[in-house]
Amino acid sequence: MSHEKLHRFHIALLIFNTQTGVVLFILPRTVATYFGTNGWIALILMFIPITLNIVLITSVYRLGRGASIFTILKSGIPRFLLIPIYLVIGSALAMVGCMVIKQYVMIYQLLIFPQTSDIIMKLVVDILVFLLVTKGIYNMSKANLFFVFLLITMVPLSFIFMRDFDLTRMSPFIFKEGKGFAQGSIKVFGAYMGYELSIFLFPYAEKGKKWLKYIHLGNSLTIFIYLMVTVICYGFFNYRELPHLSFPLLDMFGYLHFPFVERVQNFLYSFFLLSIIITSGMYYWSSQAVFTELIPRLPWKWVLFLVMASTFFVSNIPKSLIEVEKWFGVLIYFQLGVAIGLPLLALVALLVQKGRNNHA
Amino acid sequence: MLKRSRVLMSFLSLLLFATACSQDQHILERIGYVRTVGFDKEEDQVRATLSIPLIVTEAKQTQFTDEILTATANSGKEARITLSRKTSRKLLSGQIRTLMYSTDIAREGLRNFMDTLQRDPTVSKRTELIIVDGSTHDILTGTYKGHPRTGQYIDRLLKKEFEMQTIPRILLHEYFRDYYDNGKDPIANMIRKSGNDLEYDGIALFRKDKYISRLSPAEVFYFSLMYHNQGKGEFTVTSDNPDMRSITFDAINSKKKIKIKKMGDEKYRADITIKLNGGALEYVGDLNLSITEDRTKLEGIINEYITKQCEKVVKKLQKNRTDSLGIGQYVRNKMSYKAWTDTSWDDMYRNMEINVHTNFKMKNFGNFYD
Repeated sequence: MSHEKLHRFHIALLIFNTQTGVVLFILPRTVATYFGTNGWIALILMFIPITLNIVLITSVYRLGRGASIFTILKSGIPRFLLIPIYLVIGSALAMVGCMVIKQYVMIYQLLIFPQTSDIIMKLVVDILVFLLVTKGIYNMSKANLFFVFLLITMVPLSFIFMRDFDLTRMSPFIFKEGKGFAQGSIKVFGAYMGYELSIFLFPYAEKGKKWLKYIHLGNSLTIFIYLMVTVICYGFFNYRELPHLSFPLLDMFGYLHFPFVERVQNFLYSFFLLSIIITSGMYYWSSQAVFTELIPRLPWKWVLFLVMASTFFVSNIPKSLIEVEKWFGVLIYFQLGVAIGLPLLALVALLVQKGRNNHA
Repeated sequence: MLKRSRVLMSFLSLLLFATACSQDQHILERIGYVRTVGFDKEEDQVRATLSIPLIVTEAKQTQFTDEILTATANSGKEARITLSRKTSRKLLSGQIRTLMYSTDIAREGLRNFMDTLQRDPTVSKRTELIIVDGSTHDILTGTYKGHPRTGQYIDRLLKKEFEMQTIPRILLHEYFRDYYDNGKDPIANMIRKSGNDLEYDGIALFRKDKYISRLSPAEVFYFSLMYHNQGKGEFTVTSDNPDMRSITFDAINSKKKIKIKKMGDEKYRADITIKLNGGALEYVGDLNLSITEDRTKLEGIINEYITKQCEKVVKKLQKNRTDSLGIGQYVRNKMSYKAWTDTSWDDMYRNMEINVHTNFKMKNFGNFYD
């Protein structure tokens, strides 16, 4: 793979763009459904455990002195234990990457091409993702810089909504009329997912510990965008309307009006393909990294191809958007496993290794 | 290099394959973009009227017409299917600009119609919502000589008024938003046919999704002052007072503020303060506008007059139990969650003390010096 190292700023943007995606379109609804009035506060609350989680991941890097996660695991845990773990993690990550595209494509179908087969549309996006990931992580991060730049240009649009924003609609109540705090927390946690992939970046990042802070920077950028969108949605619509809107952000974009173009929401939604490609690409790339560890003899591009091909067939099982959201409901637990379980396992491996060294 | 170009080629061919297969192609000449839809009540059913602008080019002549389709059915979408059997074009709702409902239908509640409007992603939330006291069918089938084509006429008439800020901008988004809010009731604009023209006909007041009553066009100005902040527009005040027979202002600027005060046990009072200024354009009366004392006196008269008119509108709203100004939102924000859920806002609103205060300032008195 490439010998160049990932710049710390690139890592921040990579994390940010992996986290955001289709979830941005759904998040205000999720938050309003589960937390009710002023549910956006939940985003800030969830930010704390996630920051702690990132600290956990970075501590693996610090204690492992920058070694790759696979090297650390190998050194402390017997291979026969690692194989099933790798299999589960690799498949779960690949499924996340696959479902991200599936969800995007299904919304695309709903909005723009109701009669076109989602399988063909997904195949087209899959090819784009494959072409991007085969360029290697370094080139992915460079492309991402450009993608993020394009996506950030949408932020000033939020000023347009300020005219129709009204604080009185937000009410002073906190977390009333919500459907469930626990379920909502998991959903919001899921919205932040993407930072856990930083654990696979250890060998590709620049030397030193400086870049670890930039994972937090990427995560902060995410919460900034999430908060901005959700708070605006709460004042633009209201907490009782939000649970009824499938895609509040699209409805809000739909309210935009330019003299030269109608229906900007379709155009803006297509823009998000840039985010989807990175989100999905990062998950596929991580999955590939796990599987390559299992079968080191196969070239990694072949591994990627096989992973993508097999998930493509699995992705035909869910037929509706609701089903896709349900799948995400299950996959989130695997993501949590990678986010919390994997670094803990690595710490155990480091301890075992240390104990062994002390004995020797 | 060869490998890369091969991948690219296969990708391109696949893309072509995918686009060719697409069922979603729309050929402009074969599409009927519905512009205006009207719903009337007919016995137990709904009569839907669609207006589709057509441009027919034959030989060297181009003709602009509206294709009008009418059908009676149980629901709006069912009517559309019946209607599509009557036209040579594929009906699409992506360009609907105006939705009209007769008061008969609105009185029973618009909830049944709202479902499809919210579900169908092609229906824009910027669609204008209009209530018609009478038949929407008559409006859509009418010809208005000297005006643009009907659909366009309605659309432009409203857009112009929105732009002038003389009436509240009510599109589907605003209607839905206020419908779901438990501290506000939605409103909609009304139009009617008057001879050879169409005319703005005031504001339809809703309680939840049911049409209750209306405000006349004369009342709309005072309602607007309390409903939203204005950055433009003009208004005329007329009275029997010899000091102010009639005065017209333009370039007005208004700001409203609603304050809630708790008056002991479970009693609240609302104070609506309107700050308004504008430049005089026309004045008929005995005062001399270039004299400061006279001007202050006139401002006082105007303040009193506007306050009185606004309070009349508020009384009417209260009598109808339609909280169109969203006083409930402000009361809710003053309460604890428990207190709010325990109060019956409907009853409280009807008997609530609501005062209006006006603070009018004359910016200038025009080009003329008395």
